[in-house]
Amino acid sequence: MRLIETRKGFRSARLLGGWIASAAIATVVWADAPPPEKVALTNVKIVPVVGESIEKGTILIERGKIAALGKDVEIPYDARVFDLAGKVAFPGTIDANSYRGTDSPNESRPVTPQLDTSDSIDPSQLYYEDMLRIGTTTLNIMPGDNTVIGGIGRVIRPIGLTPAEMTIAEGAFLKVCVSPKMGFDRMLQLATLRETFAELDEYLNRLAERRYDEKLKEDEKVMDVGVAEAKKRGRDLIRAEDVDDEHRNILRVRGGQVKVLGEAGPTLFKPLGAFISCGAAMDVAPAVTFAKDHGFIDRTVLVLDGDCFKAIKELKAAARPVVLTSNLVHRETDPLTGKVTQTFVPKKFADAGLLFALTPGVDASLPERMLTYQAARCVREGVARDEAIRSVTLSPAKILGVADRLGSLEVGKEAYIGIYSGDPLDFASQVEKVFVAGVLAYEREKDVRMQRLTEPPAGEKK
Amino acid sequence: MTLFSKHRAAANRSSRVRPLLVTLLCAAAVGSVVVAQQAGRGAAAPVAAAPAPIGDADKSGPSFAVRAKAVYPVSDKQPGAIDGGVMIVRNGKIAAVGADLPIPADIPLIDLRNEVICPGFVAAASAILPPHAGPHSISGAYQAVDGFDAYGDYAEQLALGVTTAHISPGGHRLASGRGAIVKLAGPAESRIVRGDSDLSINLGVYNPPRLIKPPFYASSDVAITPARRQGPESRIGQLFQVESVLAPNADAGAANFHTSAFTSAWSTGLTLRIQARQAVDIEDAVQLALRYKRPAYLVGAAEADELADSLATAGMSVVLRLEQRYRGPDNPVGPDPTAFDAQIRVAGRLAKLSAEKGFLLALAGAEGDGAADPRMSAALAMRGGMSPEMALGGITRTAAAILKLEKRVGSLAPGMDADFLVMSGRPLDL
Amino acid sequence: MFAVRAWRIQVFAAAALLLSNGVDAGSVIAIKARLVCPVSGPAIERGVVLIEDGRVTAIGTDVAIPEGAKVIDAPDGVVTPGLIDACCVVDPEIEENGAYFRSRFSCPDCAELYRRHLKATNGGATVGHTLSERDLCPRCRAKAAAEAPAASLWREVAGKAAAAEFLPADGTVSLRADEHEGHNHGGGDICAGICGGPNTAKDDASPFAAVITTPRTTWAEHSSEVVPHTLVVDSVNLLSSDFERLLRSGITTVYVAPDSASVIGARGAIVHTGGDLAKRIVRSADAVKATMGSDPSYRGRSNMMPAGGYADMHTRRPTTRMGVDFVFRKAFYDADRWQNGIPLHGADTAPAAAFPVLQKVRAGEIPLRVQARMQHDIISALRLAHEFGLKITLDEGTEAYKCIPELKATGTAVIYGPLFMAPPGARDFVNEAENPLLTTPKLLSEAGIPFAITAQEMRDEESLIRQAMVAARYGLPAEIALKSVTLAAANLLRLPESFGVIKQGAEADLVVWSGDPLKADSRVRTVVIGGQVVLEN
Repeated sequence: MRLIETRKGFRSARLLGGWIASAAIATVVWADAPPPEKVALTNVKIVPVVGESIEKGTILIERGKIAALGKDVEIPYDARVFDLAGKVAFPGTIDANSYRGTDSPNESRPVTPQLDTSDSIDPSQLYYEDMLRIGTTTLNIMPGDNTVIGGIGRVIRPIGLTPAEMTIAEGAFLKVCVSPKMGFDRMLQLATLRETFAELDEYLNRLAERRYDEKLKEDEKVMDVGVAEAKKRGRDLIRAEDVDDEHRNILRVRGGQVKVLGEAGPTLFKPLGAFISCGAAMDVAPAVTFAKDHGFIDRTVLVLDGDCFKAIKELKAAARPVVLTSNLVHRETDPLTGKVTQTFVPKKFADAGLLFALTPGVDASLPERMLTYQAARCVREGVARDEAIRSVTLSPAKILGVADRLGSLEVGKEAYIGIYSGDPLDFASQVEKVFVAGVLAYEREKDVRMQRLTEPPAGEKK
Repeated sequence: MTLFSKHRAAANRSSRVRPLLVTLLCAAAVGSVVVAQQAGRGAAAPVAAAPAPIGDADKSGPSFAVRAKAVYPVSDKQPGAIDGGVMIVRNGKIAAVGADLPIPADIPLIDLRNEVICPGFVAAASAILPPHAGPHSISGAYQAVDGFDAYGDYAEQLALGVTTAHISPGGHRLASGRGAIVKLAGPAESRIVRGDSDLSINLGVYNPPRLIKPPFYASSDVAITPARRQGPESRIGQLFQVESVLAPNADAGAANFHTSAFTSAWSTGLTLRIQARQAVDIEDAVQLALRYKRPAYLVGAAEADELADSLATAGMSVVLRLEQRYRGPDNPVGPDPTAFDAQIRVAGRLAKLSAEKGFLLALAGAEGDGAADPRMSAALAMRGGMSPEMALGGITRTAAAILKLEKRVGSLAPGMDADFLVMSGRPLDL
Repeated sequence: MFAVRAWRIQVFAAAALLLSNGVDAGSVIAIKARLVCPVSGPAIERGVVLIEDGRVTAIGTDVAIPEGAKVIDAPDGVVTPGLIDACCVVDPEIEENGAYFRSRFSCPDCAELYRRHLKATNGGATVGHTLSERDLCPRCRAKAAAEAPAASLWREVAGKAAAAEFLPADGTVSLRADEHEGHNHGGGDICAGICGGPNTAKDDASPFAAVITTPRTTWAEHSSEVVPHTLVVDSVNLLSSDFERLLRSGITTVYVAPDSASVIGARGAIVHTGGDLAKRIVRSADAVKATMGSDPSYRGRSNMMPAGGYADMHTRRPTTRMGVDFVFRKAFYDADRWQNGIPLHGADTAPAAAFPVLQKVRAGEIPLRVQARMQHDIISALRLAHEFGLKITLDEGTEAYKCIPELKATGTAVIYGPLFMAPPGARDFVNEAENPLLTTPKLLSEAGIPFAITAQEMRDEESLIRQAMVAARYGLPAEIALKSVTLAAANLLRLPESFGVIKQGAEADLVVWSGDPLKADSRVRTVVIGGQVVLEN
């Protein structure tokens, strides 16, 4: 049995396999010089997320991966050395759910499982540059919330000339929205969702019948069984290429339990997870029930907004990881007294012991767009510092299924590192340098846009 | 502790209800007592509504006793008021109601010297949920329960005394979907009493979007297809439309997710909730119920007095909608005030006929009126000649019976959920 | 007007008696903290602040705490003066205004809708309907509804306005059918027949032919462009929970600024955000606020309120920067003519009540603040000030960094803010804020120009202190950043010396922070106003 990759999967997998070796194109954008084989970051305070901080440590990067890390690391003679005295090395932060950096987050039709955000990613957008500037090195670009089924997302780094170059991992999640899209209400939203999944069975039945019919023709036989039996027998004859784009991803979300014939015998579709967006507490139970009913609860991530924390009992029972939207503070007006109550949402999830990831604010003018600042807000409201840090690094990596590669500074992991002028959670600290897969991708002193925002034009200086 | 502060806040606003609430608070802090206070609505405003938690009541429900100036059980055995009555609640369920019950020592007593208690009102029709946004004329796929916010704060409805309500997927389509029955307070997981209570059919409604499936842009692989129209567009077609979907050899091409959801709900024998105002539509409703031998009840029923015999034959109960809003200087919506007298006359006649012919009659507010006051409906019906007992029953026990919840709510009797209102005077004293 | 205010204060006094929970005015509070920042001098390690009778009576390391004093012990905490926002945009009714608008922007579709709506009005094209909650997606709408207060006069009025939203204000029908596409009529919707939609409820046409002005953001009187005789204090609802919101972020005193929609606007008020209702109003009639640039002209063009809705049926003037300057100039000349008994004429003539106020402004008895963002607007403001011999304070000053020599030469102080990278809110649509400089506070400080930092309408979790944090991140020394939201603001508001500092005899308006106030991970623990603990968390 082998896993069938999607069309885009092939492309990205190929690029991914050899991109460091053949990074000629990338280097044009990434840095002034081609990426050195070995990079050593010395004299730096390391905040590895996993394990204790290391004062005046060294990180040795070889071929984009962390080869060694600690106090006594031998620096090879041929390594490019950065002396980072007084600076702090912190994993690049991870935004687990972003709909920005694309031309438009949603198609106007409500059900579009066939879409892939990689077709929509616009590498020239300022957004990516901004993300690098604040030390966010990994983004899960997902379709927006104005949908029923939005399509699949993609985990990317904010640097590269094409979506393929930017890709870290092929999209492993389908966007499903339980709270209503524009012009919909919950009754219509859920009916549409159920209809889409119910239609898949009908589609497969029709396909099976057709395939059985075709098989008979190939064998020069005449129809020998009834329609129902043909549908049953035809199931095993469905080939991967028979399933059209619109149904493929639904089938993958359901776990690809339908056997299909490949060139080398029967295969399964690669299963797909789901990002289910819940706008309010009342959406949580339908989301969980739906995922359970269709067998993908184990691959489900819940994206929670508004007062979803009220459904903490259901969320605990479901024990699924959650991504919190940037509205960390929920305000509510008591209809009887008019009194406003405030709830700090991440604290609820931290207390419940659920795996959660934070996401940055949308408004470009505020510190909230910095994940490190969002984590600092959690610390302020009583979330343990370690957990707050994890919620912008390792936790989103786990949620996105890339924790073996990203999310912390450990030997063997890919070198996505932000170099800060001080404590990463301190708002006064600046991002000085950013390494993306071992390549120096950002340097503050060469940041022209930042200079425009912080230095007055030469002619007007007094 | 939010409950606690809510009590206090409500108590602060009016000294009149303060002593009561404090007592209630002490007694019921163990359970979920939700207090909603209605300010300045006359003599007998509901001052507290207390739906008991349901589900695993043995473990979670509160136990207490209430002694009131009068208890209105609204039950078969005790139709009238019990002066100085006592109600004993154990684990969220009513254990006993009577005049001279000994008060157990192990549970707290709420002593209401100046207030009366009556069952929480049951809204057999409500406007809590706006109509669904879908285009389909006939669908069984829209579920009202999907639109219900079990975490919501329904203080406004509770202030009107409504503790249990029917929610409908809408009165705007021929078959709009499946209704549900919910409680408006208590723990979120126990608020949904019945997720699938009925199949909603609305006769006399012709406003679905005409084109159910607009033509998709043609391309090399998409053929030009005609847009599919949906019906009905006239009263002639409404019954035909429903029956054509139900027909065993229905056109397979026309069937879709929504119509098949309708047929499967129909075949499971779900109660039909047929909304019809005019006599001609009520006639159709009776036809439908008789022809297919389905349990059904009528909602709206502005001209049902003309067809009382048919309704009795079909065994259909009636939820009479009474318009409470009138067009005036500060209210641009609502019918002409002249409709006022007509509906009062109908209410009076129906009251008499229901007793004669033996069908159930419940009272509700107008469609889409989110602020409909059950006691206002009762008062209007009483002005038409309905007896006070029947009117009170119409917003409690009879309404519960039509929703098939007479074993759970609608009266204060042993075994029922302890959902009750504390009123400052007689329940129907506006 | 005076009588009305006297009545208001009586009501407040009565309410205060009810609400003050019997706070003993003679109570003594001692605050012990890791660090006390008096702002006027160096910080005191392990300091104690003693408060008696609403005043600070002692500050230092060895302060004897009297018997029976309420002790607030914050071993890790930092005590600072209560923050002062010198140009605060308070929401009169809706406490969640910031959230309301942010909820629009957090959803890409509604943000786009809002953007298009504002662009259309900005460009002068007449759009027949205003954006209302009903145009938002259900999610944003639900959010807005959940965050708005349940029942109030405003809700009632807004509901009626929404019902009448498709009725054009100026009698012209310009809504094309295609513009109306996608507008979803529910069964109960009222559409007055303009849209021609399939479910038009013609029979239910609303009698509200005149669109009701929403009370939102009514910090500007729209009957004239020159309204310095109106007082913001008459619109201030001291019970609005917006004040509670400010309080939660450590702000104890604000200048409630009038809207920038008028050329010469109302007189702002200085109020406390919490404490005794009777003592909340610090100064009921403070500086007049004038506006340069496109705010008055942009709102004039199609006569729109900043948040949607029509101000009235007349098209307003001015419509250009020239017009704004002309109206400003004419008002002051007219004030002179009025005093000399010369008859006034012209469409832009201000109401007579404005002239005594303008004369007092000229005499320097009433301070004048001028909001200007772009360099040439700042220069215009300084030019006009010179022309009439006015001493002004500059508000907002986005491009103040370009005018440092001029500001210095004229001795003009700046109430700067908010700081941003990309223009937030309505600034995005007036094209006046495209060249911000994050280091402006640092440059102002280095040039020796008196300045304070304001958050204006930026109402996030920490509002003002977050602005100071951003200033500190971009080069402003921390102690000056703190000063710019306390003492410097108090000075620019010409408050008595007892405001904005902790010293003997100062107002007991204090904030206890869980750590360094400029750190992202510290929060407000306790707020004291007038010697009364008004917030603890």
